Amino acid sequence: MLPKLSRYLLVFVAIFTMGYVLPSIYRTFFDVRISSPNFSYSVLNKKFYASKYVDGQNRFSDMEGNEYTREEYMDELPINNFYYHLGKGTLPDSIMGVRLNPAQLRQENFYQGTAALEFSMPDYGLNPLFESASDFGITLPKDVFRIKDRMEFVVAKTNEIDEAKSKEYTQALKDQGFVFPARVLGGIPSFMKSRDDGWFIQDSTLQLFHLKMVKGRPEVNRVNVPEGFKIRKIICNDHASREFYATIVTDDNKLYLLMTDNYGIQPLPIEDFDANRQTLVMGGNLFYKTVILMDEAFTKVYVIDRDFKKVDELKEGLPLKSEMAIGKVEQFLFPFSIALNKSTSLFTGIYMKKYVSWSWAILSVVLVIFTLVLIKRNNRSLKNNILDIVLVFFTGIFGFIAVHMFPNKEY
Amino acid sequence: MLKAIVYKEWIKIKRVSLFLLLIGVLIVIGIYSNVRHELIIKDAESYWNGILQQRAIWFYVLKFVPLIVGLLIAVAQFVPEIVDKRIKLTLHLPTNEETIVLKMVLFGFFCTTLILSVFMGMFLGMGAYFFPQEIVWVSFLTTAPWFLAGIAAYFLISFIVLEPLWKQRIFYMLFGAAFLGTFFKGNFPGTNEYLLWPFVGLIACISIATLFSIYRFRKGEM
Repeated sequence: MLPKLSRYLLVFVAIFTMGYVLPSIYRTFFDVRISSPNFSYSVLNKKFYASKYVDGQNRFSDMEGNEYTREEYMDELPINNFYYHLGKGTLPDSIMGVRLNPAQLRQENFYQGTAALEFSMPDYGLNPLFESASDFGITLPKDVFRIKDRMEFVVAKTNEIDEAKSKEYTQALKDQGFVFPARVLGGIPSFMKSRDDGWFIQDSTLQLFHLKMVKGRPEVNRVNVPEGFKIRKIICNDHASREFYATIVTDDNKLYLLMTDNYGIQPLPIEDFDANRQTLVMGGNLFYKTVILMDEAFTKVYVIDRDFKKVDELKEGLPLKSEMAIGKVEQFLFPFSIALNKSTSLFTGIYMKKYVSWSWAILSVVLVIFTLVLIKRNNRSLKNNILDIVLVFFTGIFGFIAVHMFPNKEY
Repeated sequence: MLKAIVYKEWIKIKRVSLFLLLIGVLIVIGIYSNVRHELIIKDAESYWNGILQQRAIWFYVLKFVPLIVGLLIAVAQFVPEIVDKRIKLTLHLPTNEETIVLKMVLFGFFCTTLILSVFMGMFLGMGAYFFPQEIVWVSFLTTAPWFLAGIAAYFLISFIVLEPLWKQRIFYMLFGAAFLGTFFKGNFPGTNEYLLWPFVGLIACISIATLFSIYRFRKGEM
């Protein structure tokens, strides 16, 4: 009994291993590159343009299918490519009645990107609190902080808690009504930034606070947020325009900007963001902001004006691998596949992909017949091998290799 | 009977176990001597920043050590058994042969786990001297699959060595290499948090694999 059990356990582990290894090998040899186009919105013509990498070359077009040379494309999008036009001396004097000032264009121009995996990644829970009013640039502090039932600073050199500083900052937060522990923290933990705006911290009662260290002392401000404002992520920035401190993503996938002006919470007119699977890219210039949502099925672009009203939107589908030859053959060869990593999370796991198509069943039937022939040829009883046959049918090539690698011999 | 088996198995793996224990202890001491050196010649906060923000891993040298431990203990324990088919003598003892083999494997597993626990204990204990608990915990999550790979390697090599046919052994080695490869997939600190229990489950599945080899051996597969 035990040897039989040990065989089936081995077969199970082999199916798991094959389910991971064989699709990986298949994709290593036959995978195809899908390049998603870059979409830009022209302030001049009020329409979208796309640049796409095809056969080693950049192709430029609009949504009506008109093709452009690189020079024509640059001319159609003067604001998006203002550095190019500044260099050539071809920047228009004004657009939409607004006089173009290069310094202002530079200041208002921003770009930020947040991949889905940034919402699902391990976190140490230890961060630096930089001096926000430093006279000598931004330097690493000697300690890092954690927020649990109080705010604690751990000094790197000694690996000990700085009690005096911890008490001072804990009290400063409590004085503003902070209820420990923290739910979410947002800040820029790197010293590679133009300025420091400290940390935005949501407490356990959903209140939001802004904490900074100014000349070594805590400075805490309360941010008024709507009722039940459950923040999932606070994406801080150091954009030159200083228009907003951060982009806030809530648990229900709504997007807000935390404005620098009186800590206003400005909702963005984006209804279909899914932080679990989409990359969020935002860009802005003197006239518009663009919010781009990207996943493996489509790219969606929203254009928002200075009053945060939606001006235009575009949705473009991407070619799906499951509909290409590589995907169809994969669905024929394998009944499922197992991956340990996925593009939308930095956590490893057993990510099982079950295909929609039943085309794998054809190969499974062939493998079952082949297994039956082998059983007959080796004079083995069908009754003793019925579980093997079921396994081969449901796990296809994985099960076929597994049950034959660990032979079910009758002695 | 158990005493006799433990004595017999200990004789086979004593030298290699003590050697591996010494090497592993020296490697852990080496890792933290290097950390101490870095903390002295660099600013401590800069070193911490490398770990916390750039996600630096300071213990890569440890990655395949548990795998080598499991592999060598299994080889030392079971290769002598297949030389001139000495395992036959063990299987002819007047007691249940499956129980004997399981006791042999259990003892090897115990020794492998003990050695790896000493490494892990030292690694985390010394880590707690230099780093806060958050860094120690993430270090544990990062290294745990490597240690589990050591235990998986022990079970797999025991099973492969006892397999009577070379042709099957080669298939099993390929399968074993692919399976063990899954333990080394996460290259980001703390990434394996949700995979540890599935790994434990898979190791439990292969823990009695030697019974399959012994069954085939006993039935005269040559």
